[in-house]
Amino acid sequence: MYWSVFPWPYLVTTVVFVFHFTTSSFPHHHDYCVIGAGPSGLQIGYFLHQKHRDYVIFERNNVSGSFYVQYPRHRKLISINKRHTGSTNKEFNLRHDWNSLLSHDESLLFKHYSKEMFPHADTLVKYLQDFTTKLGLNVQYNTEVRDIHRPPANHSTDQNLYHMNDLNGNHYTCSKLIVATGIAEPNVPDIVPGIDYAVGYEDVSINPDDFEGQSVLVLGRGNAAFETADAIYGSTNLIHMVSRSRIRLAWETHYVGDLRAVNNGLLDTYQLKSQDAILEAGLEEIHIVKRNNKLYVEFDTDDDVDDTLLDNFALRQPYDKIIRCLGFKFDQTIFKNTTKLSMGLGRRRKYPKIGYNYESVDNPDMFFAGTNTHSLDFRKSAGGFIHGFRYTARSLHNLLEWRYHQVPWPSHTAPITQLINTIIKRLNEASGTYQMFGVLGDVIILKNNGVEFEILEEFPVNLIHKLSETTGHDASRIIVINMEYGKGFSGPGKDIFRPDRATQEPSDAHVSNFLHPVLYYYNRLPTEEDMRRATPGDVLPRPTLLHHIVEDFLALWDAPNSHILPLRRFLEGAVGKDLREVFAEICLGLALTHEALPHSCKEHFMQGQGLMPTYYLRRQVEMIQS
Amino acid sequence: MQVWNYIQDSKHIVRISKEVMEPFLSGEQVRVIYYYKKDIPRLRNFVKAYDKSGGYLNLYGVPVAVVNCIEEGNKVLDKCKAEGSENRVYTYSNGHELLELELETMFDVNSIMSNILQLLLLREVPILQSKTERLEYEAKHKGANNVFFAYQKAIGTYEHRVFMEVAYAYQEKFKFALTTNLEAIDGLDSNMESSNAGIWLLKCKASKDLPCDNQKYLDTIDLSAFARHVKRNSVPPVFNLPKDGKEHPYTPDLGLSVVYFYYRETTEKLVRNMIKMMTDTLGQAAWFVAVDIEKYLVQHVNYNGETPSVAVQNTDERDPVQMEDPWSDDSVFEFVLDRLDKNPRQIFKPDDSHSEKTEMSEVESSSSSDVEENMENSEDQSADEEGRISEVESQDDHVAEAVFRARKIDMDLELVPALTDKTFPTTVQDKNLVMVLFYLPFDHRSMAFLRAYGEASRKLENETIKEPLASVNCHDWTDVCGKENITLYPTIRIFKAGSVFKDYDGMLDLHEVVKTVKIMAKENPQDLSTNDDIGHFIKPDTEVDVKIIGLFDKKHSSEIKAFKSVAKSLSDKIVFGINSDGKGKEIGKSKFGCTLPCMVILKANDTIQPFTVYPAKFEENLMKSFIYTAKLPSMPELTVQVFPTLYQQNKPFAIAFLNEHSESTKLREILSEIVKKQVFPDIIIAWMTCDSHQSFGCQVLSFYEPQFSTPALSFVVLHESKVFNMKVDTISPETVQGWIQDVSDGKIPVSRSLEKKEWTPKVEGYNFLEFIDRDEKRKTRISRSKSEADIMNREGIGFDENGNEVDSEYYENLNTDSKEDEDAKLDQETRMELFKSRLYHHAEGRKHGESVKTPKDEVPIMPVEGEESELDFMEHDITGLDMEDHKYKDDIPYVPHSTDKSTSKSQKSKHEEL
Repeated sequence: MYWSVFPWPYLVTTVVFVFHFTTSSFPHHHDYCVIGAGPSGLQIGYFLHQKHRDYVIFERNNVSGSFYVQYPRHRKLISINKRHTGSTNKEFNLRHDWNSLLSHDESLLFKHYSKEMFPHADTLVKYLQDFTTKLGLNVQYNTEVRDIHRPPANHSTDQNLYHMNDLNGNHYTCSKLIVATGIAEPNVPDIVPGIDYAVGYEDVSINPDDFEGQSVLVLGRGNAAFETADAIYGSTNLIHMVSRSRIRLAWETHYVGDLRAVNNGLLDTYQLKSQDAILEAGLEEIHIVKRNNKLYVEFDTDDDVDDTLLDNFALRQPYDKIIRCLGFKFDQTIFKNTTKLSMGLGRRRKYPKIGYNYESVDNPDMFFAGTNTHSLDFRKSAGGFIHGFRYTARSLHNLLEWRYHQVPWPSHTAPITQLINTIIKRLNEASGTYQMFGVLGDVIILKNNGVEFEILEEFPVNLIHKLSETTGHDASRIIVINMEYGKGFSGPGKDIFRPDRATQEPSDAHVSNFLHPVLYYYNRLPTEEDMRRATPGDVLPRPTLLHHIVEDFLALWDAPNSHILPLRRFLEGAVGKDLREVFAEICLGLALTHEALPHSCKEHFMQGQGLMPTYYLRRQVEMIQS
Repeated sequence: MQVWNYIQDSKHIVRISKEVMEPFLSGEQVRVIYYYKKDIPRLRNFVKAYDKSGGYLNLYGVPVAVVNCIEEGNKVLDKCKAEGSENRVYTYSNGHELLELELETMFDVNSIMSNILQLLLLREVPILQSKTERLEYEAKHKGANNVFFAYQKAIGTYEHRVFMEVAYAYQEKFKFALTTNLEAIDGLDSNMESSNAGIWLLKCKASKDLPCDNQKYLDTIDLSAFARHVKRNSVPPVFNLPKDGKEHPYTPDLGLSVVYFYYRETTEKLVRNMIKMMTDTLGQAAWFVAVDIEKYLVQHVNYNGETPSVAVQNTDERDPVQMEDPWSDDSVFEFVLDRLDKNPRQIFKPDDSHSEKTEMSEVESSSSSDVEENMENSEDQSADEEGRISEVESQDDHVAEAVFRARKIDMDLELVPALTDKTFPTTVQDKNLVMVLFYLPFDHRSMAFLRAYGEASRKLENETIKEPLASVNCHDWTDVCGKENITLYPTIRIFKAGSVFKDYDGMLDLHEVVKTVKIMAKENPQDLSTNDDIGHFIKPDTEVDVKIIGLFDKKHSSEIKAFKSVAKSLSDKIVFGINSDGKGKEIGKSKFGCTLPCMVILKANDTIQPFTVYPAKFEENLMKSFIYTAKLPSMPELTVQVFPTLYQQNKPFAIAFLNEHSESTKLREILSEIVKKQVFPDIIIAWMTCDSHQSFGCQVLSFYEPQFSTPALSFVVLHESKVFNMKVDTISPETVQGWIQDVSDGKIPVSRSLEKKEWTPKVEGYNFLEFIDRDEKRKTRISRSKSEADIMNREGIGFDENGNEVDSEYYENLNTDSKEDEDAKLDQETRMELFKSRLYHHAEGRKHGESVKTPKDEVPIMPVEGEESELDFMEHDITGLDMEDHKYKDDIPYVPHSTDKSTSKSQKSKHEEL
C-alpha cells in the first residue's frame, strides 16, 4: 500500500524518457491539447470529441468558463438570448442565439437556461458546466499549464511535440496545441504616470454606494466602461469618460464589440447636460496626480506651450475616483520564454499573430481558437464572440481533420438543378456565414463541366486560394457566397438611419447597405498573388462574375422575382447553362424537334421524373401565353 | 307669356295656388316649388328640365310645383313678395321650408334630380369633406354596414344623379356617402384628377380595422350598370339552400351564371372548401349556390343525385348542366371555367389591379415623357437601362411564373400532414406505408408539385389506407431533412413499416402518385393459391394497366426467390401475382403457352400484344431489364409518360400522326399488323393524335412537315437528328412497310433535321462588376480622397483608416504588410494638431471645419430622395407590365393539351418555336 503513494506515471515517464521517446511513451501525451475550458475550448473540444480524437482540455480553475465567474463585473451578459424568432428552423434560430455553443444536444440551447434577453453571467457558467458534463468532454480541471514550448525537431526523434508542465509538476506532451485561453489579462497602460491611482475594472466595486456623491473619471469607452458607469451614475456627482477615439456605437458600426445600447445610459445624461460627459483624448499625453486626496488629470505640456492657453482644459476639475476600463489582452505567460510569439499590428496587438488557418505564424501545429483569433476580423465580424467563434472553431476543426487525418472538409454533391435551391436555403438559414460575414463563406465547386456541384459550408474565405490543399476537394471553378454590408455604410458618426439607407431594386443590389449576400464566381481558383492584390476593403479579389442580392428588410431572400430570378441569371452565367425548370409536355415537344434539350428536361423529364402541372397551374401558364 | 304656357302644358309640374298651399306642403316628403314671377331668359330651359325631372321625382314621391305669383290670390304669399325669389327653387318638408336652391344650378335634369335627391337624402347620403370625416364615417359603420362612397367632381352632375338615384333605391341595404373633395379619397385612388367621379365599395361590414377594405367600381357610371352593380352587391355571393331560404336571389337580370354545388353531410366540407377557393379566385364572376340535397329537393333536370357535385347555369339556360367527371379541385375548376358565360381568362386575371395600373401607367408615362423631352441627353440611355432591367427581371421560367401566379389560391393540403421534428419520426414509425414529400417553399418545382400532391391526397381520401401522403417543409425543419440527407428538392421518400423503402422516381404528377399509392397498398406479390385466384388475377383490370404473374412449381425455389425479389423492388410500380405450387401449369400453357417456371407481363390496354412471356433465365437483373421495356405498350402513343423509356432504347421512331378519320384508322391497322408480325424489331412504331392544329401531335408534325395532312408517317432518328416524311398519297400495307424498309436501308433522302439549339443562358444577369466600376469612377471624380477628419471620426485619433495605430511600430512594419501601404501618405502632424484641438474643444470640426464634409456631399451617387425613387419604382413596375406581351415569346414554348383552346397568336409563336 505504501508504494502506491508514488504516482506511477512518474516512474514510467522517467524510464521511457531515457529509452524510447516515442509519442506513446509519454504518459501524459495527447494528440491534441486544448488550453482553456472556456466557450471556445469547449467548442473545439466538442468537435474533437465527436470525431473520437485523442484530446484533453486543460483548465486552470475548477470550473468551465471561469472568466464568466468574474466577468462581466455587473453580471449582465450583452449577448442576446432571443428565444423566439417565429421560425422553427433550428439553424436559423441560432442567428439570434448568441450564447449557445454548437452541439447535437438540443437541451444545450441557451433558451432553456434563461428567459432574459441579456442573461445573468452565472447562467453562462452553469451552461458551460452542463455543456462539459452532458457531452462528456475531457476537461482536466485545476491544471494551469506553463512553459509551453516545442524542442527543436532533430531531438533524437521525428516526433515534434509540444511540451508543457502544470503547477503540480506534471509534464504533458501533445502533437497539436490549441490555445483557447481567451483575452483575459487586464490592460494596464505603462505610459501613464500615476495610473496606479486608478482602480481597474477587474477590482472595481460593484456597489453603487461606494460612489455616493463622488466625481468619477472612467478611462475607456468600451462596454466595460459604460457598464461600470451605468451601474453607478445614480450615485455619483458626475462621471467623465475619456478615451482616445470617438464612441463607437454598435448600432452605427454593426460591430457587436462596440458600445451596445444595453449599456449606453450615460449617453443620455451627457447629451441632456446632466453633468456626465465624454471626451476624446489620448492617454499618452496625460498623467494622474493625487493632491489632497483628490485625483487630478494633468496634461503633459511641452515647454514651449504657454500654460495659459490651457485654462479651459476639460478635465481640470479633480476626481474622487478614476476607474480604468481599458480592456484585456492576451496572456503570454503560459509560454516558455524561448517560444516566440508574434503579436498583431496596431490595434490588433492584443492578439497573437495567426494565419487565416488559425495557426500561429511562429509555431507550426499551434492553433488558436476563440476570442484570441479575433485579429482576423477585428472590428468587423463576430470572431471575438461566442456566436462567431463557435463557427470559426468548427472551421478550424475541419481544417485539422483534413490536414492531420485525411478527412476532407464536409460537403455534399448534388446535380446542378439543385444549385439555386441549395443557395437560397443557405442564404435564408445559415447562421455561421451570417454571424461571420466576410470571414466564413459557403463555397460551391462546379464539377463535371457544370453538371454537378459540391458545396463546402463556412469555409474561411481568405483561404480560398488554398481551397484544394486545405479541404481535400479538387476545385477550379468556384462560387463563393459571402455576406456583406455595404461599403461605407456604417461607422461612427454615420447617419445610418438616413432616408436612402436601403435599396429595393435588384439592379441596385451592389449599393445595398445592410447585410446581403454577395456571390463571387471564379473560373479558376484565385492565386495567392490575386489575394494579395485584392482592393483594400474588398474581401476577395476581383471575380470573373459578381452578383449582389439586394438587401431585404426581413433579411429573407426568397422573393421569386427580386431575389431568385436575378440570382438564376448570375448562376446561369457562371455555369453556362439555361437553368430554367420546364414542364414535362414542353420537354417532350422539344425532345421530338430539337437536337439538344434544356438541362432541366435532361435531368428530370428524360429520367422519367418530368413535372406535370395541375389543371390550375396549367391555366396560369396558358394565361402567360395569351 | 310663352313660358307660362309651357308650364301649363307640362306633364309633371303641379300648379298650385295659395289655397292649396297648406295641404300641399303638409306631407313628410320633400316638395319642390318654383315661384313664377316673370319671364326670365333661363326659365324656358329650366321649365323643360323641371317638368322632366318631375316625372322621375314623382317615382320617389317628390312632387314638383309652380306657384304663379302673377295671379292675384298668390301675390300675398311671402315668397312671391320676396326679392329675388324668381331666381330660386324652394323645397319643403313637413310644412317647413327646407332649403333654397339657386336656379342657375338647376340647368338640366341631372342637376335638378341630383340636387333634389341629395336634399331628400341629406341625412342618408352625407357629404363628407375630408379624409378624417370619411374615416369617422367608416368607423361608424365598421362591423355593421358596407358603404358606397363616391367622389363627385361637382354636385349636380350626371354621375351624381346616378349615384343619388341608386342610393335612394338601396338605402336600406347599404350606406351611401359622397365627397367633392379630392382629399377625402386619399388612400382610395390617387388618380382622380381627370375623372368626373369615382365610386368605391367600402367593405366596412366585415372590416376589423380602418380604413375598411375597398373595391373600386370599374364599370361605366350609368344608371343601369351601377344599379346592377349595387344589386349584385346586395345579394350574398354564396347562397345556401335551404338554409338561407327556399329560393336563391340570383335572377338572370343580374347578368351572371349560377354555379350549384350539391352536398350532403359527409361531403359538405369539400364543397365548402371548393366554394371558398372559387370565390377567392373568381370573385364576382358567378353566383354560387350550395345545395344540401338531404334537406332540399333538387329539381334540376340533369342532376343525378351525386355529391359532391357541381353544375353551372348560364343566364340564358333554363337548367344547370352538371359536371360528369369525378370530383377533384382540378376537374371542378376546369368544368366551371369552361362553362361560364364570361370569358374565364378575363375573369381569371389574378390581380384586378393590373388593368387599373395599366391605365394609370399610360397617364404617368405620357406626362413623364413630356418632361423627358425637355431634357436633351441620356434619354436613350435610361430607356436602355429600363429595358435591360425588365429583361433581367421578367420571369421566363414557366414553372416559376405559374407557381407565382397561383400563390393566391390556397393548396388543398388538408389531408397532407405537415410533419415536424417531433411528428416525422412517429409518423414514419407508426404507419405501414407513408410517402413523405421533402420540399422547399422557395423551390418552384417543389411548389408546383406540392399542389398536385395535395390533390392526389384528396383522390386517395376514400382508400383504405389512411393519409398515405405527408410532407416536410425543409426550410422549417432543416434538421429533419438534414438527418434524412435530403439534397434534392423535392424528394418523395417512401417509408414502409418504419424504414425507407425507396425514393419515388416517377413523374411529378398527381395521377402517378395516386397510382403508386394504390399499387403499394396492395400485397405484392399477391399469393394466388387457387386457380380461381389465378384466373381472377389475369383478367384485365381497369385500375392497373400492367400486371405480372409468376407461375412456379414447388421445386423452383431459386426462381421463386428471384421473382419475389423483383416484385418487391418494383412494388411501387407494378402489381405482381404468384403461384408457387404448380397449380398454374395448365393456365400457363393454355393462356400463354408457357411451361413452368413462367413469368408473364400482362398489358390490359395493349390490343396488339396483351401479354409477353419472359423468355430468359430467372435472374433478377435480367428480369428487371426485360420488364422495363416489356411493360410498355407494343405500339404506344407518344406521351410524356412513355417517351423517356422509349428514348433510352436508342432506336429510331416511326411516328404516325392520326385523327379519327378512316384513312388514319387504316394506317393504324397497317402499323399494328407490322408490329404484331415484329417486322421491324429495332424500330419503335408509335403514334400521336393530330386532330386539330392546336393539338400537340399536329404541332410536332408541323415541324417535321409544314404542309402536312393527316394521317402522316414520319421516321425520326433522334440520335442522328434525322427526320424522314412518308408521302402518304397511297396507304397500303406494302407501301408503308416498303417505305419503312427503304428508310432503314438508307434509300430515302432526309426530309429535314432537328433544330439545333444550345441551351445556354438566355439573358445575362446584371454585370455588377461593371456597375461598381462605373460608380467608382463617379465617386473618385467627386471626392478625391477621404478627409482625415472622417478617418479620425471613424478610427479615432492616432489611427489610420484601416484602424492601425500610427506609431513607430507601425512605420517599422510598413514594408511587411502591403495592405497598409497607403497609410504612409497620411500626415502625422495634421493628426497631432487635430488631436490637441480635440482635447480642448471636443466639438467636431471646430478647427478643421473646411475638411469636414457633410453627409450630403459624401453620397452623391446614392440614387435619389424618397419621391424620386418612388417614381422609379412605379415606372419599373409599369415597364414590367408593358413587357408582358412580349416576354413569354421565348424559346421554351408552352405546349398545351390537345383539348386546349389557345388563341391563334400563341399558336403562331408556338409553331415558330417548334
